[in-house]
Amino acid sequence: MRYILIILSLFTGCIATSQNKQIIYGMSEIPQSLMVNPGGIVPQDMHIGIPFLSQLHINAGSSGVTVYDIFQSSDTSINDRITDAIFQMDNADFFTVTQQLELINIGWRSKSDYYFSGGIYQELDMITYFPKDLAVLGWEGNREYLDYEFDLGEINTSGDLLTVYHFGANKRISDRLTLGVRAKVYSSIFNYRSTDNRGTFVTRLGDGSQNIYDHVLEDAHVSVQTSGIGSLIDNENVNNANDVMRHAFGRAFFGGNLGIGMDVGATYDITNRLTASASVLDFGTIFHSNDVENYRASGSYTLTGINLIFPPLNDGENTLPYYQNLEDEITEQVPVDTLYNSYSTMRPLKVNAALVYKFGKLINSDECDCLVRADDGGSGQSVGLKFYSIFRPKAPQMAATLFYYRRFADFLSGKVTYTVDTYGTDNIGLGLVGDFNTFNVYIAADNLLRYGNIAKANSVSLQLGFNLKFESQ
Amino acid sequence: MPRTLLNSALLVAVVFTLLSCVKDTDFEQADDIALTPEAEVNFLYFTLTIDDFESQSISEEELAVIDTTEIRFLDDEFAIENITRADFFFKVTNTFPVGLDVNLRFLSEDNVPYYEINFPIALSENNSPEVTEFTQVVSMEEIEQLTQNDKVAVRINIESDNQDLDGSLNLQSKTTYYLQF
Repeated sequence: MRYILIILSLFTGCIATSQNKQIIYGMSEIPQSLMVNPGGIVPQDMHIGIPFLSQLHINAGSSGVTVYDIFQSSDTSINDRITDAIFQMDNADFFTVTQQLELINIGWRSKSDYYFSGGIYQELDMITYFPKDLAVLGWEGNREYLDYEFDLGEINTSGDLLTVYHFGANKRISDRLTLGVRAKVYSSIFNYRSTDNRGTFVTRLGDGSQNIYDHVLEDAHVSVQTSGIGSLIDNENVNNANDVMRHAFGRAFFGGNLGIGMDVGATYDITNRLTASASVLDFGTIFHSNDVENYRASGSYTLTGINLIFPPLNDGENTLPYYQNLEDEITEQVPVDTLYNSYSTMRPLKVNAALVYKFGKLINSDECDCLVRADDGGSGQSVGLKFYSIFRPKAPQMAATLFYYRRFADFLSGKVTYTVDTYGTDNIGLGLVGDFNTFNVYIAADNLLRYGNIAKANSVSLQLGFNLKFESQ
Repeated sequence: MPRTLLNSALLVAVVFTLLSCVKDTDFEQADDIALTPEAEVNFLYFTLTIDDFESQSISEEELAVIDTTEIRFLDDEFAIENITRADFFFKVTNTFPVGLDVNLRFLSEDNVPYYEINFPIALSENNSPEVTEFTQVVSMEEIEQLTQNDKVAVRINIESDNQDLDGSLNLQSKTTYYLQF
């Protein structure tokens, strides 16, 4: 438990709002902006992501507690701080870890002016809601909580490790409208999900007819679905991290469970200065039928203790196996089943939408501005509003971002964002993109106000990558 | 591409990381994290009448009954490492007009008794229920003796050899386990 707490705490501070890439969204200088809106503007005619370096996205967050809250240097006891954190959080608080690593990303413009792009990336995505009742039960026990119904339905966690193969097409349909679509094949390495649980556990004073308490498990239904994990646990040849990696690697390339999905997006110039865009990402499903192990415990039971009956016994005769009988009774009333039936999981759907107002000197106007390039469709500066939502097991998580974009020089542009999300209201982000001849580099980071002491951050994100970009003229 | 440009790009990439830091924290406090839950758990319960004493007839000299049950978790690694104290609470309701004695012997897997609880039960007057409450605290110093056992033998003695006694005895019990891990 101690180590779980440390790991959860470290996740909260190491590095963001889950998968929200508000900085690179709409930054057409970054080829990977097509990954967050396949219908974005594409200025280049070709790009090649540096393999394994074209995009690294790390993102971890905790909505209810920071590393500093727990591990601050102070005179108070760390156990008191953990107690405070447990009681401050509620079951809507969550911990998330998301990571993406692009292995390959390339794109090119066809003669018919389609911009095709494709590649492979690996993704880890986990979310665990804070099971407050169980945390209280584990931390303090039931002694001070007689008659309190601990809610087993608070158990809500899911995670995926997968490889995504994708191919997309983008086309400027008219002077004002650009559309894009991306097909995806998911190769799941592992998945676990425990999101549909219910039941209560309560300790009450008995009515005097049996024992002092009634420990009541009421209408419990707790289940966990897994794929890609059972063989790992059961495999005697898996003894260390290398074996785990080898196992995962085998499943990454169509060796596990497959799924399909798609992204769609669009950009529409309402006027020369006002642009709207939107995208829907990961509308897809993974079908888990290979290496599936599901566990389910369900039922109701009231534990009253061991009822001795002092039976008359002959010499050498054993008394009743009370304990075994009790275990059998519990197992019968609350059976734990291992099932191997296939299941499917929806990918966490993401929705982006933005409205951008460009200002400064416009292309095709009489005013000249050397910082303006024809390929980004307009001006050297813009401000805008962006909305983001990701569907999570309990409810969608949303974020709203205000941003300011500026091109500083022909080779350098930047974006400052202010984001309000589940984690807080003081998230300032910054992104920089450099184009040095054909070499393109970008970096974007969140929660800069917390960089002075990252331990105080509920979330921070980091994205960076390197590409080669080519233009025909 | 000029090497200096690549270096510059890499420099930009690491700047954010270098700018970030973790301050005013002490991760060595992790060693001090201790979960100390207190769990209330039912223990044994039973009801005895004079018939039970007569039918067992352990010896002709005394009226006594005995029964044994496993408590398998008590000598588990988890219990040995994490139980720091245990309070056994007994509530006995007696309508026998005589006193009784309760003896609980906790036995190891090899039937070696490492821990014992004894307490008397007050007699009933006029067959009205007489309630005796008794608490045995197994302190941190004694807890190792308790967690070597995986069963308990319960013996109830009537302080009389009169088999015509009328009455009943109801025992209910619970244990408060103080855990630390």
